[in-house]
Amino acid sequence: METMESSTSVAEQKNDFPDRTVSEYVELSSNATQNEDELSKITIDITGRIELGTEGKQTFSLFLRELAPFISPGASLVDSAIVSAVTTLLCARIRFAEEENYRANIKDAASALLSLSLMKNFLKSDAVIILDDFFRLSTSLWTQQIVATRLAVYELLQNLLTNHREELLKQDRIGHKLAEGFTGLAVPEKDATCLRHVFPIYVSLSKDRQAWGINDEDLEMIWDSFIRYYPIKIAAFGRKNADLSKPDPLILRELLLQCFISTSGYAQWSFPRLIDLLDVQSDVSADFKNDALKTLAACVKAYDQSTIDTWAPKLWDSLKFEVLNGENDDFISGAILVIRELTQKSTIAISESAWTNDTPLPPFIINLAAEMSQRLVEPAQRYTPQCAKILSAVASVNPFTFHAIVRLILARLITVYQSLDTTAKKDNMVRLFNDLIKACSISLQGHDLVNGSHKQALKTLRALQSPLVEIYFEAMSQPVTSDADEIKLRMTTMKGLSGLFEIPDYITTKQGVLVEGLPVFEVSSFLSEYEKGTIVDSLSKVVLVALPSNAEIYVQAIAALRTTAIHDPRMFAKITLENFLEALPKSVASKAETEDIVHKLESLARIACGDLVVVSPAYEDSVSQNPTKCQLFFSFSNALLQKLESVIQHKSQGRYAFVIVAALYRGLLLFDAALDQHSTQGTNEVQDEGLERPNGVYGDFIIRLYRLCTQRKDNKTLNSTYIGLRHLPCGGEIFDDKFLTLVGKYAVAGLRSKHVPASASPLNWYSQKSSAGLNQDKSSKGEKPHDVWALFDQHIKYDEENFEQYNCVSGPTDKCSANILSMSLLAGSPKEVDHRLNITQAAAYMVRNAISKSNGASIDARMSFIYTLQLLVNKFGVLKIPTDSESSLVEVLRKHVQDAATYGDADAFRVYQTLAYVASAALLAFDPSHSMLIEMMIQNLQLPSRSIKVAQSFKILLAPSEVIAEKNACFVRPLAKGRLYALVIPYLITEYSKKENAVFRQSYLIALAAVLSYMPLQLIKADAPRLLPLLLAGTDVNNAGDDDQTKMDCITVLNNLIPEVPEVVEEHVDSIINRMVERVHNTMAEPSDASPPCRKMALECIRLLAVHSRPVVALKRKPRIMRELEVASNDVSRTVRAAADRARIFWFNVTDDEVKEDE
Amino acid sequence: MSGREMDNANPTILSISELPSRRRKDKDGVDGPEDFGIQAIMMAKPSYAMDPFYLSDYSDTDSDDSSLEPIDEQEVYDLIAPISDPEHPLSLASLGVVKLQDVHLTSPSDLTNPAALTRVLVELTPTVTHCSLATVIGLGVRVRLEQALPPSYRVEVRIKEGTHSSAAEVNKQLGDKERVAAALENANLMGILKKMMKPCME
Repeated sequence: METMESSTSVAEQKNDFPDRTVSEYVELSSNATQNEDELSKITIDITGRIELGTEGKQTFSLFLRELAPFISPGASLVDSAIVSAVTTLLCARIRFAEEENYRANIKDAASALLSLSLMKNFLKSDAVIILDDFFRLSTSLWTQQIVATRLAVYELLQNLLTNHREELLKQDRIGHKLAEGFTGLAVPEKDATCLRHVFPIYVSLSKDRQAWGINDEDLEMIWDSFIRYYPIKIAAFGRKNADLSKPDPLILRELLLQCFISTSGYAQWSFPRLIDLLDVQSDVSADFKNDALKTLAACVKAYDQSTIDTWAPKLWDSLKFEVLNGENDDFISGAILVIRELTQKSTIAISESAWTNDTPLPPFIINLAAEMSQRLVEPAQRYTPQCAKILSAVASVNPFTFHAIVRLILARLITVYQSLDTTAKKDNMVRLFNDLIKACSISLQGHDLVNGSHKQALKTLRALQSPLVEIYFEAMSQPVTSDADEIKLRMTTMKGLSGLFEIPDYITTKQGVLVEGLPVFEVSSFLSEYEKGTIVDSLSKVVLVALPSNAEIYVQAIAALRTTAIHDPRMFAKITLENFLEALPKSVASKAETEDIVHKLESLARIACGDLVVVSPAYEDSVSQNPTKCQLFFSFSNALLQKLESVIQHKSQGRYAFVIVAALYRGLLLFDAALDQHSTQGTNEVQDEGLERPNGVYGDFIIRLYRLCTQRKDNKTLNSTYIGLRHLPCGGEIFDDKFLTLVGKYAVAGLRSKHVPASASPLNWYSQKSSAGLNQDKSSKGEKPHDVWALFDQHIKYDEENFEQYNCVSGPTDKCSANILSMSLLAGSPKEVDHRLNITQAAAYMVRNAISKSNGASIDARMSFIYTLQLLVNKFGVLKIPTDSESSLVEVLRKHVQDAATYGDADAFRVYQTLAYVASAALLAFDPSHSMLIEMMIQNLQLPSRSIKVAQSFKILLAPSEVIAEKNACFVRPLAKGRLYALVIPYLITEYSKKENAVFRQSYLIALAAVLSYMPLQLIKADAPRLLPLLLAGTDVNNAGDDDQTKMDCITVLNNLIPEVPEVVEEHVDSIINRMVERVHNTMAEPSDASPPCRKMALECIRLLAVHSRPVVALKRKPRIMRELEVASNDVSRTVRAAADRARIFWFNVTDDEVKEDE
Repeated sequence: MSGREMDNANPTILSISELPSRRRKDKDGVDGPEDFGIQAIMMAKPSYAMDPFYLSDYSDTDSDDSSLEPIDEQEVYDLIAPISDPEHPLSLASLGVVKLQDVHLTSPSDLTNPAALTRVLVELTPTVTHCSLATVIGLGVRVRLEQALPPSYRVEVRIKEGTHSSAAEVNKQLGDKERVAAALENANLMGILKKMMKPCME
């Protein structure tokens, strides 16, 4: 730094000029723009103020304050001479800052200079003066400056470099001046905020070192300046209690990395430094070493090729050591990343479109391959897994590197494999082959399919295809025992086989004819048809064994077969599917045979429906008959439906048929989940593909299943037509309710799938009509009834007198059962479906069907009437349709409820059950009629002989339902719970205390428990003091047929309350313990009245008391509870014993110490 | 154990899936691929299974006491498997210290006599032959079993033959009731045992 210069001439002039404000100067300069003499005077006047005597500090501060409005953003001093004068004045302040009187206000001066330098009128040559003056500051003065001052200076200097670059470049030896000046200032810098500005200055200088004229010596000066900060310690900056005013250390780390990579010139210092960090393991933390590897990768990527070529051998020596001998996976991955970057750099000059088999291979790859090869031929095979990592990393960089590795090493490895003497060694080598196969697919990604010379990569591999595939076939042919190595080898082999399927063969890909303006590509597979067939066949054999001996091998075989299928759906249809179908018997006679079929079909479903077909870009461009994404699912569903047709022709094959429908359903669920997964990844083409099918992706299969189990019949008694169950020549009861329910579930899942747009639903009447080829005469016979009722029968015609599918009051039974299918269609369809039905009438019929004494309906069929009724109420709003008061559904139900008083129990219970379900549907939809319906239920509680059953029916109101669910587009209003609470709970609490009749009191407890069991805790908490005694009473309720549901409900609510309201619970703690102990105590002499699940819950309640009671309260009860828990530890039920054990541990930990702490 | 060098700083660890835990299987609800899928679809209860009007037709088979489930070796193993090693934050089962095949149950010959005792023998395999914490581990296993099993079970914990250099001495300590009782009076030791038992509470 230079010494201060004399300013005598300025000082001499000072007294000749009066003190003026900045405003006055500006005004004067505005008026004097045309008069150079005046301007000169003003300038001298301003400059003269530099000598301010003993009042300097104060006067200068005042000057800066006055100046501020004129240099704020947007403002501009009028004349460049004034700007320059002010700049000169400020620079002089900096220049003489070493003197006591000039030392103050460096920050303000720097800020003012920054503003001035951004002005249009700023004299560019002043940029050099500013730099010079700041570079002159002595280190001692600079280090005394606060952070804000240093920051202002760095900002100013950074701005000068950026905005006045051209002017600075004109200066002689500017590179040296900048390097020396900046490093001089930044050497003592330790503040993170300042470093955030210092690092970019270094980056700017180094990146453009040629232009700035920074020589190696200057560059080393800069390197020495920033390398002092490497590596940046993240922890040192205190991530937890981070100072938000400081920059994130990760940002600093990134800025420092930018310094490293700003010029290849740093290689001579950066590589040795980073290699040292790798080599001196003991002194380096894991974080530093990872950072060093990342920095190395970034440097290799950024530096020019000639630099990297020079350093590659040295880097390789260090990196291979990390991979071959390393134990830390992060370090190995980091080293592999650097090796990939080295490989990439070594091939950067090779044109992707121009290389041939004769293009020379880069020395780096040749050396690497030679060394790996040497290690891999060692008989001990110690380094095979590590070599696999290196080779696959290099091979996957691009087609050229893949070609290089295959050419240099694969043939030799194939020979080595033949000489391996143990299964473990073979497994390692096959893993290496797998990695190379995977690398092939990765290296080809994103390359020109048809014209790229990367085809050469596949040609190179093809030369070795036969012996390579042979290795896999030989490995698959080896028997597998329980030996761990054999199992491993089999798994690895199967992975490799599926990997081979994933290699596309672009060698023979060629653009074919144009169809409708789009090119059609023909892409064949890399493997031959024979090879593919053999692979699929061998994998199928693994899956098709009756009971897989090893679950891991089975799962891997399924995964491998799925991969082969999604890459070649034709091969799946030709071999995999055929193999499975052949393995299915025509009929089954034993349970074991059925179990075997379940296993096979489960495997098939996982293979065919677990994923979408991979359609190559070439296929996607084509319009020919190429595979679609859904093809595997279609093939699977078609084949199983055909099988089902065949199976039902045989006698007593109901179970077999049921298994097949279960498999169809399983396939649909798996496939829909796969579609979900693809749509979350942003792929929507499947929906478009579904749209192309008139009935959506699943519609045709739903229709076929429905038609398979139904047929049109005549009801001679009523002289009407109806859809009943299909008559099979072999007789039997194939289409029982369980079968129909499963078919219904299939339909629901298919119809409500989000991948089937409403317009493509099979329930769309118009498209259905066209697809069925029907052209009915609407004027004479009317439209075909909706398929919800016609169940896809093509020949049914609408005629109210002859076709009332929903009227099952008098049976017959198969018509009742067919309603299971109709109900499922209504459940799966969207709310907006045009079901073309008088729903008021249908609902009235459903009530009559449900309570009919004469239709002979099975439980499932009767429940289907009730569910249909619920759907009509909740989803289709039948209660909202205006009707006369007598025919409204509520009044119809009220009449039936009144009549039920005279019925026998069984008939009356059907009415109460129907009422509860309708009330539930109305409540969940928040239909206004729900109050009346629930009121009817409450009234029925007064019936002495039936009040308990009625009380139990309260459980139906909020019970989770498969039908009235949001996924079926039903209304499930969250407010329903609060509403029910308000309607029922206060009433039950009051009535319980009023009534003395034991039966009624019990009924109220049952109803209370039934409702509370589904209530959110927030609602219950508020009433806890009133509810607790009733809940305790509920744990004692004994009623036949309830299977201690009430006890369990009460204990569940109690368990939920204990953590929430411990103070309320404490008031009843002895009562709770008494009740729970009564439930838990279960010995031969004194058996408990509670079931094992109930006893388990009671034990959980006891455990919670240990956790949530005050220690002093718990300790008093501990001896008794420990005695009871000891008894419970000898319970006959294992789950009860486990719960007792858990409770014992918690009570064991209740000690005097805790009481002391509590006190 | 802070301030002390570990006896075995790098033990072999078994993965959770390899451990023969019945509790885990019950919790996961799976035993193999067949338990999902078609089998589950076929076994599904009807949608009205919880309807109180049909409840007795579909009550859970688990809800009655018709099936007796006597305590077996697996249950004893499940009780001690999650105990934490005092040296590593790992379970005794995952370190191979306790093994299912080393849990032995001897039922009394006269099953009708309620006072008859069942003998439980657990053999421990320390991770290294010089393990200085073998006694503490053995004590933990013993305390755990005495807490969890009914009073009619007599618990014996021993070091498996040939797995520890001072097996005889450790066995002597573990078999001495008075020594065990005295050890449990030691607050520090109880603190260690409580820490070891913590995973059993989860």
